[in-house]
Parts: sequence; C-alpha cells; structure tokens
Amino acid sequence: MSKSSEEVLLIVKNVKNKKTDGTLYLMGERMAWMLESKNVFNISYMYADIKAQKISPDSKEKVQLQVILHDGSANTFLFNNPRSRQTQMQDRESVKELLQQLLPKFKRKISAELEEKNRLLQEDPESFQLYKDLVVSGVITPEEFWASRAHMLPSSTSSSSSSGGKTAPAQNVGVSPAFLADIKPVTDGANGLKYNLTQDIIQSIFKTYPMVKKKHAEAVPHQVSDCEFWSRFFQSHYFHRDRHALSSEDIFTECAKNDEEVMKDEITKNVNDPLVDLTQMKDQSLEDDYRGIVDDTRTSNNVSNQAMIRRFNQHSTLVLRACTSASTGGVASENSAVEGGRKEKDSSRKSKSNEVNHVNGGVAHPTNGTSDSVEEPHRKKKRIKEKIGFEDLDDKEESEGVTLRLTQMDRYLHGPTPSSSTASASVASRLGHDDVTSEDAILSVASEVEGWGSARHMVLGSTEALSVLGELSPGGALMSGTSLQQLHQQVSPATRDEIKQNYNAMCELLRHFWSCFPVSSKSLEDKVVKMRQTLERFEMSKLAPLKEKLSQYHYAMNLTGHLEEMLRAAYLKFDAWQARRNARRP
Amino acid sequence: MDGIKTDKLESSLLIVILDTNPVWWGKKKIAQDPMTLSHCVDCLTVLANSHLMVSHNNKLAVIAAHTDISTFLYPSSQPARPDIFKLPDDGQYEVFNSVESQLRTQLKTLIEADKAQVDYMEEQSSDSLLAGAMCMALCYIHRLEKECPIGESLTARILILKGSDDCPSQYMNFMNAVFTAQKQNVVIDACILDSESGLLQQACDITGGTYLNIPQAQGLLQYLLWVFLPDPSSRSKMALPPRAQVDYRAACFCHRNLIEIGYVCSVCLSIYCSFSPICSTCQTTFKIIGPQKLVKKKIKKP
Amino acid sequence: MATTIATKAKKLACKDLHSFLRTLPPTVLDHLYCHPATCLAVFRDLPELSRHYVMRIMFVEQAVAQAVVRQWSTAPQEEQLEAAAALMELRVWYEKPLPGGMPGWLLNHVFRKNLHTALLGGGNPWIGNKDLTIDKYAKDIPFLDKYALERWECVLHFMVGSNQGTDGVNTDITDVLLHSGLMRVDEGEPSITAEGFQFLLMDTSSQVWFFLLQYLDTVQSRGMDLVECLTFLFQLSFSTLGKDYCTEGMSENQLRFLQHLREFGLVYQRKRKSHRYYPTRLAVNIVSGLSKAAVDTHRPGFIVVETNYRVYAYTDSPLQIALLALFCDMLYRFPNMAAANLSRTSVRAALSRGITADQILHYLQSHAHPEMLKNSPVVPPTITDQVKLWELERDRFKFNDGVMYNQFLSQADFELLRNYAKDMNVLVWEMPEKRVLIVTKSGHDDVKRFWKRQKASS
Repeated sequence: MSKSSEEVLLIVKNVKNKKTDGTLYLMGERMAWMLESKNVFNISYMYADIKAQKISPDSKEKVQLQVILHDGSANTFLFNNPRSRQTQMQDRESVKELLQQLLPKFKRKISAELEEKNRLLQEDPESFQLYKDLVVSGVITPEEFWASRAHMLPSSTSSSSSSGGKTAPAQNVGVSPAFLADIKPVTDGANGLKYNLTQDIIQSIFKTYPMVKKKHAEAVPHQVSDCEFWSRFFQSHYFHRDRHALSSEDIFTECAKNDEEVMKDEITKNVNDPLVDLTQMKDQSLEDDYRGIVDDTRTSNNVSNQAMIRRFNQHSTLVLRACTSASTGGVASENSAVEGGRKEKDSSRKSKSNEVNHVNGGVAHPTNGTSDSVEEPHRKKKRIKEKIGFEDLDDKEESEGVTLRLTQMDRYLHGPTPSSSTASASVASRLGHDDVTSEDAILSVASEVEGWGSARHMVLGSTEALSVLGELSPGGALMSGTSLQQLHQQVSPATRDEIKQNYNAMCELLRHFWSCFPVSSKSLEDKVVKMRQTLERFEMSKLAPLKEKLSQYHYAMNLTGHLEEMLRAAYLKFDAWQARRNARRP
Repeated sequence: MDGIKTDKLESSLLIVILDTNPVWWGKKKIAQDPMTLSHCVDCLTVLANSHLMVSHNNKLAVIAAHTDISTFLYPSSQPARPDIFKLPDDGQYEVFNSVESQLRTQLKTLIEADKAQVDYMEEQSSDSLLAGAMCMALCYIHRLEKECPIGESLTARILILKGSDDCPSQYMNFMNAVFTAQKQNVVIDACILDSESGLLQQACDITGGTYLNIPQAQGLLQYLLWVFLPDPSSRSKMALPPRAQVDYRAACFCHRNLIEIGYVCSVCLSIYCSFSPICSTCQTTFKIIGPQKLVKKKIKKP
Repeated sequence: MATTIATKAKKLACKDLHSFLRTLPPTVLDHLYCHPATCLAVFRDLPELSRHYVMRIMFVEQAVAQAVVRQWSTAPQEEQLEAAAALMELRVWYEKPLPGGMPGWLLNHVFRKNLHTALLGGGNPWIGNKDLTIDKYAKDIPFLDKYALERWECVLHFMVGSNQGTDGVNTDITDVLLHSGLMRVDEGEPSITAEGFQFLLMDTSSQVWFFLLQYLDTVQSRGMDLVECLTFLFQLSFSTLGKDYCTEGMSENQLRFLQHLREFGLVYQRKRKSHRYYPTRLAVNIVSGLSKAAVDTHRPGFIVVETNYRVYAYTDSPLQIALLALFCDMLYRFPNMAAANLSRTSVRAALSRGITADQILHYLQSHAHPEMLKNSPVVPPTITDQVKLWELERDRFKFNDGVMYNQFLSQADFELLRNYAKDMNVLVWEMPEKRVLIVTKSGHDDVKRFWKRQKASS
C-alpha cells in the first residue's frame, strides 16, 4: 500500500451527507467523505466496491450524487456550495466526470485480479498450502504474500505496481461491431434524446473513427465542451445513415470526406485479386439467370440503400482495423499509428482522382494510378502462378549430396579417441613382458586350448563366490554410492508430505526475510524486524512440533537439520545487522 | 485360468561377444595370470547356460571377436545334425551340454587356425574386431526379431567380454554400431577383464547397459551371474553397482589430447584443439577468422 | 415350507506346478530334488526374484544373512517377501542361523547339488541317457506331432462320446477321467460332466497338465511310486523333440508309466517292447509351458471371430466343431470350414452347462487364426464384453435358502412371528397381505421353537 495510491485527486468542499456538512475526497483508489470538523474519514468507499453513480436531474432543486455499492446499499451526497447553484453543478460535474473515468478501471482490475488470484490458488496446491499456512494463520499479510508472487499474476496490477505507472501490456480488447447500435438514446421527457456515453464507448468511437478523435482533440477544450461535441456528433449527418447531403458548416463534414478516401484506399488495397472480378458478380440468384431474366437495374437504383450498404461496409472495415492497429501498435502507439496512416492517405490522395466511386461496397478497380499499373501485370502473374501451380505435381528434386573428400582417412576413422600408443605401452609394461612376441602368445594359447580339461566343476570356488558376494552386496566395494537403504523407503509418504509442507512454508518466510536486505528504508527495517519475529513464531509453532514428531520415529538421519540450519543463518544475519545498526545509532 | 491372458510370450535373447584375441590371452597365460582363456570360457558357458535355465523361452548366441575374423561360436554355422548330437555322459542337462561342447569345438577350431598361420604372418596387430562382432550381433538380433512368430516378442541384449585394449581405428564402426543398438533398444553390457575401455563405457552409457571392470579373476563367474544375468527389465528390481560417470571428452585429431572445448570442422566434424584456417582432415578452407586472442595488456603499476 | 438350494457348477481349477508341489509332503520334495531335471523344473517355476536369489547363492556353500539378502533387491517389500516365501515353501532354502546368531538362508543341499549338476555336469547321467544306434524307423517332428495330436484327440473324442477312433481308449484313461470328475458313469456308460466341458475348452497344454495331475493322484493307488513317476515326467519335459531315447535303466514302475504316457500320446514308441521312445510335443516342456502361453504353439489356430458375432472355424476336425457348437449356433458346414454365430441363447446354453465366459473367450483366443492374432486385442472387444455381459445376466438372482411360514390364522400371529424373526435378524422376506414370511434356514429352528412356545402359552 504505497502512498501514491492515496494521492488526492479532487477535493470538494461543502458536500452534505445525511444532513451534515463535510468534504468529499476523491483519491487514487477510493472516495471518502470527512466531517467538517474532524480529520478522520467518516465514509470511505473503495472504487472497486462502487457499482454505479447516479445524479439528480438538472430540473431538481437539489444537486445530488448517489453512489450505489455492490452490496446494494447507497449513499447520497448533496452538493451545496453556498456560492451558487452553478458552482454546485460544477462541483458535481467534476466529481461525476472523475468517477466516470475511475470506476470502470477499478471494476475490471479488481475483479480480474481477484479472479486471477483465486485461480492461481486453485491451480497450484502448493501455493494454496502456503497461503493457508502463512496468510490464514496470520504470519504474513495477503499483500506481502501476493507481492512476492507478482510474477505469477499475468496481468499483474497489484497495488504496489499500479501506481508506479508501469502497467503490464494487457491484451487489447477489440471493438464490438455493434457498439454504435448499442448506444440507445433514451427519451428524456420532451427535450429529445439522451445518449449515455461511457468511457468505453468513447474509446470505441475513437478507435473506429480516428478522424473523430482528431476532431475531438482539436475542438473540445477550446471551441466546444465535451458534451457539446458529442451531441453534435450524434446530430451530425455523419452519424446518420442518409449522408448524401453534407452541410458544410458541420465539423464532421471533413470526416465524411475523409471516410470516402479511406474507403477508396481500402478498395485498392484489398480488392486487387486478379482472380476475383467483383464487377462481374451480380446480385441475383441462379434461378433468375436460369429463367433468363436479368434484373441488373435493381442494385444501383436506390441511392440511399447504396449509401447505407457502403456505410455498413466502411464501418466493418474500420472496426476490424481498430483491432489490428491496436494489436500491432499497442495502446501507446495507437495514436501515432493512426496519424501515420492518415499522412499516407494524404499523399496517396494526390495521385488519385477525387472521383467517388458509386458501386456499392467498394468494388471498383481503380486503374488510374500509374505506378500501380506498371506493377500490376507482374503481381497478377505471380498470383496466377500461385494458383495454377501445384507443389505435389512438381518433380522431386533429389540432391546427390556432397561427397566428403578426406585426405587423412585413418585420422577421420579414429575419431576423437586419445592416442592409444601410450595406453597400450602402459598395459604391456604393466604385464611386465614386452619381450613376449605375439607368436609365442598364440602358441601358448593354442597349447592351453589343446589340453582343455574339464575344469568346469572348479569354475567358481565357494570362498571366491562369498568374497564377491560381499563386494556386490550393498555396502560392498563395488556398491559405493548406493546407500544402504533409500531414504524414500524409510520415510512414510505422509511424513514426507509434512516435511515438504514445512519446507515450503519456511522457505517462503525466509525469502521474505532475505528480500529485506540490504535494509535501505524505514519500511524495510520494520519488515525485517517483523519477519524475524515471524520466523521465531514459525519455529515455535511449526518446526518444534514437527521435530518432536519425527523423533518418535527414530530416523537415523536428522530430517529437520537443514531447516534449522537455514533458520540459524537467518538469525545470525539479523543479529549482525541489528548490532551494526545499534552501533551506528548509539 | 483367471481371465484372458493378453500378455505375449516374451523371450529374451542374450548375445555374448567374447574377445578371443590370441595375442592378449597368450600374454596373460605366459604371465601366469589367473585369468586364462579356458577359465573365462568356462565362466561364460555357465553364464550362458544360466541364462537358458532362467526361462524356457530364453535364447542365446555367442560370437567370438578375433583378430582377423568375427564368428559365431554358438549357434554354430553348421547346423548340428541330431544323429551326431551326443548325449551327455553325466548329469548335465543335454541342452547345456550341447552349448558347452559347441562353444569349445568352435573356439578350438578358431585358435588352431591361428596356430597354423603363425609361421606365415608377420607381427600381428593385437586388435580384436569388436565392431564387426557387434554388427553381426545386431544383424542376428534383427533376423530373429523378424522371424519372431506373431504373438511373441523378443528383447535382445549384448554382453561384451573384453580383455584387449580399445582399437581406435574401429572408432567410427564401433560408434555406428552403438547408436544402432540404441535405436533398436538393444542394451549393451560390458564386462572388462583388464584395462578400462573408454569406448565401452560410452557404449554402455548410451544404451543403458552396465559396465563392470572385474576386480578379481577368480570370482569372474559370480560377477557375471550377479550383474549380467538379470535382464535389463528386471534390473530395476535388483540392487546393482551404481552407474559410473562416463568421460565423454573427445581427443583432438591433431595431437590426440583430451580437450573440453575445441574447434570442430563443420564439414567433416574433425576436432582440433586450436584454430587452423584449413581443416587438415578434409582440406576445407575456413574464411572466417577465429576469435581474436585476448591480448593481455600489461597494467603498469605505479 | 419351501426350500431353494442354489446350484452352481464348480469351476475347474487347474493347479500350476508350484501349487502342485506345495501339496506334496516335504520328504517327497526332498526325494524329488535328487534328480537334476526336477531341480531345473522347480527353478524355472520360481518367481523371477527367487531365481536370481538362487543363482546368487548357488556357489556359496554357507548360509547368507537374511538382512543381506533383503538388500539385494530394490523391489517392493511384498515382492521380496513373496520370493522368499516361495523358496521356503518348496524347501529350496531354509532358515539357518549364522555363527553370530543372525538369521540366515541356506540353500537346500540336495537342490544345490543337483542344480549344479544340471548346469555344470557331473553326477550320474539321466535315466536312459545312452546313445543309441541310428533308428531304422527314425521319426521326424511332423510325424510325432501328428501322432500326439491323434492320440490326444482320441481322449477328447471319447469324452464327448463320439465314436470316432475311440477304440484306443482303455481303462487307464477312463479311470483317470472318472477320478477327476470330468466324466461320470450314467447307466453303465461314462458321460461327460460340466467340468468335462470346461476341460475341453482349455488349451492343449493345460489339458495335458491337468490330466496328468489327475493321473498322478491315482498313481499310488495303482501301486506305483509317485517320486519315480514325477522324476521321469520332469526328465521327459526337458528332453529334445525329435530325438530318440533309450528305455534302459528305467525301473519297472517307470516302464509302466511310460506305457501310460504312450496311451495319452506323450511319447511315441513303435512297439511296446521297443527300447526306444520319442517324446512328443505334448510331453516336452509340459512343466514350464503351462499357462504361460496363451496360444497353442504346436498347432496353428483356426478360428476367426468377427465383430458381428460370426465365428468361422477353418477346421475339419469334428471335435473342434463340436466344441464350438457348445457355445455357438452352427450355421454352415463346409469341407474345411464351418461358420457359426455367437448368440445370446447359444452362450446362455453354454453358461448353464457350467462353462464360464472366461473359458469361452480363452478358447476363442487360444485357437485364434494367425490372421486374427495380428489384431490387438485378439478377440474383438465387443465380443468379449458381450459374452461377459451375458454371463452377468445370469447373476441377477441371489439365492437364499429359507423356510416359508404361511397360513397364519390372524394378522397378530403373523406380526408377532415376523417381529421375532426380524429381531433375530433371520427374516428374508415377508408379505403381510397374504401373511407369508420366509426366514433363513439357520433361523428356522429358533423361530419354530418360539412359535411352539407361543402356541402353548396362548
């Protein structure tokens, strides 16, 4: 829990709660309300606990904001800045705005984080055991536990790191294709329509319509207010489907024009497969053809239909592109990517005529780009070749392989064996008769074989057999390295598990302990003292009973020896540190 | 009759490769070493028969790795005609008796052939054709596996009884045989009678076999029965000598020194202890320059 | 009062060598170990671990500490105990304290000596191991196989009562069959029993082994020595197929035994007085071949089972077809092949004869055609499962012996008795409407006594 999460984002005075005056604080992770005269928060809500906020309609006299919590309870804050109703409204707006931005962030993060932790514990029985041992029994706090496991949480946004500004690159959420349709206007009495825009939707709109984003950036703070901008957006023809009449004074006119450009661009970019000729496609079924009735006029008749279909196509294209650009560029670079894309468009605009294509859905094949037409046949050829060539029909190329030309064959065949001359010489000398020629040797073997008696009954004497038996039995000369009995056979599985559990728990504690060194801050200092106490507690409550239990089995080995050793090492370190600190601070 | 028996009839084939290098054995004999050829063959026979005794389905082959030839001692290449087949004159089981007599006859023939040639040949190399014998063994295993009737399965292993030294000129063949054995799931065991063999250590390690250097010749049979009689499948049940650490270091081709890090020709895989622009084995020229030698700068001390 | 008695055919138990030897008295065992062949046979029949134990201490002529032996193996404790127990049971080794007082194992001296002999030679030659002159009428292996099969099928034919070539069956065989309960005498004529059918479905080597065990049971009643017969049988088991052996040196008993074996087809002897005999495949390896192989090795299989419950038998043997007909509906008969169908009725008919599903499946598997053997599992799983299910079908009833009480005069009487029976925990079934109750047979006396007392008091 670092301090930065407690950073105060907004302070609004003169906020009444349950008829008492006080101050509302919006902080990094929670909102709080303090009684006027006190300096303790009477009310404090974590953003993660807040389900929704509601504001009173403008028509009402009181300017209120209600916070609804996940558990269903609600609390209402009354803004009553004594100056004017206008300031009250402003106060509330600012709170609302800020909450609007903060709430969705926390909602997702907290639940995701909790779920993730839950999942981790369920999947990893060892961690779960540790959690039970350490956290539930109060040896360490959950935050400490998770802080050391931050790496295990993939979308790690644990409290300490989130405020540090370094968020892990989360997966980008794509844009729902129906997001515009989902924005349902609500009739607000007689006034007209009311759109409820969430941060999500705004983001979606920005992603899908980069031009709108640009406009928003240009216009909003200076020319129009945020609210105004959006209402204009929805009013504009840009949003509505009949777009043939473009009024020049609208700020979105330019957007519409730009859209046309983008579409044409898409057409040239995507629909240039020589094997697909969309112009030849007719919007009719086979049956019509069969009857010989060609109703070609149908498609191009209705201008508004056309426009609508084109809108749909364009919308889908943009939605799709919003995803890809986000995934390639990431959130941070999205802006620049869009910018870059736009520039590119600008430059390409020059080479193309401004003529708007009428065929629906972008079918036309612009042939006016000079550079394109040169490239075209080549690309076409390649594409056609790709389509008509089948790999499996090709002949298999069989390479003969390269023969290895060796100049020193014997050396190659010897391989990486050490020189043998010395070895054999040593053997000969060991035998102590270099003078024996192989001839003599062969003759002596031959004579041995000739007089081969049936000495087979004497093949193995009892005493020799017994001595070899001694050598080969466990503990014998040839069995060195194999312990008399495997440890895992001695210790029962239950005991083994218990020891393992204690090992795990203690290693976890020790890790916390050692991570405090070098002790560079006050908090670390506190922690190291606390950890030392924790270790002592662990030794008393867990290690000692375990040791006692093991002693009942009379194992030959001290099974807890290493555990104790590790503890001693930690204590030593702590004592040394404490002594030094005391020396420095007399 | 409890349920359907689905387990196949399993037979285990043991192929013993005996190093019959006459020069080496002769030198031992002259040196009055307790390890003589006859003693070794007697022990080997008992091991072979014990293998046959353990199960009715077990099979056996013995190959001699001689200096100029590798040959089957058992089953002998001439099929034994039943009418010549002699019954033992004592209480030995007739199958064991025939194994013993065949082994002896074949070995005698082999040694006598050497004796006949001894006058003609110049100083004979003391290498045994171990790699060749291993290849014969692998071929034999392959043949038996193919001939194995449906519903039966065969597991094979090779035991090498070796006295003479490693022969570096057979390195390539030897290693090829070892890797073939590994691929065929054939375990190679080695029983070393004299000096350690680096090659066989590697062979055993690669194929998962046991390598044992016999400390005392008199007890040879007991070692054999103890360590090499159990099948690889049943070895997990037995407490056997631990597997030793194998030295896989290679020797450089230029000086035959053992090195841990060296230069390898990318064409012929020759190993060198120092960089040379031309591979002296296959004459490949390397254009790239080897890593610059660290020039030690003398630090002037005030 | 009604009584039901569950009738269930006894399952034919075929002992293996180990369990057979265990039934022999220790003195007989020690006697048996005097011959190398017996030691070989016993050795091969030991558990794997025990075999290695024996090999390891074979050359050590003194007791070895039990603690040391225990460390030789890394196998689970149970396996080690089993291995040691097997050696104890067969008296291959026994406990002997070491000089220091520690418990040790010592290999049976006789066993060690004779196994040593078998392995290394020495000692006396085996019975009749004498090189013979070349036989003028030398027989080759196919002839012997044919001969053995003919003789053995004779026995089987006799059992099913077909009159094909049963003239060779004499009283010895009949005696054994009757003794073993495979057949019983009905109206003067021996006829096959339920066990007999199970016997027919076994594979040949198991049949021979079972038959011989039964034969050995009767040996003593015939005035022959069990040890001599067994010794000869084990020796025969280790002889080589296609080789002739001499009858010289055999005792009177063994010569008689040989004649019996000749009748069963285990040996071939041209003439009764001939000094030469050939062991057949039935005899060779009879000991260790038992129940190890699922396949009849000397005769290629002939049965093909398809997943559609069709069974094709490529055989002209009426016996085999008759055996198939035990549990199949025969459809067609061709000169060299017969087609049949496995159906619920046919299998149930076989089951009601006391044949088990396992036996049917084992028969199908052990006689499977070579082409079928390539499949894994050999018999299609659908068939295996279905046959087993048909067997389970018959097991839906649980039979309890009981005594029924009815015709109570009043409901009160009924309830009184029922409650008593319930308290005694002997009530099997009750039906208050009709005032009927059934108590177990064991509880009958009690309940009766109670009832009589009640009657008397009221």
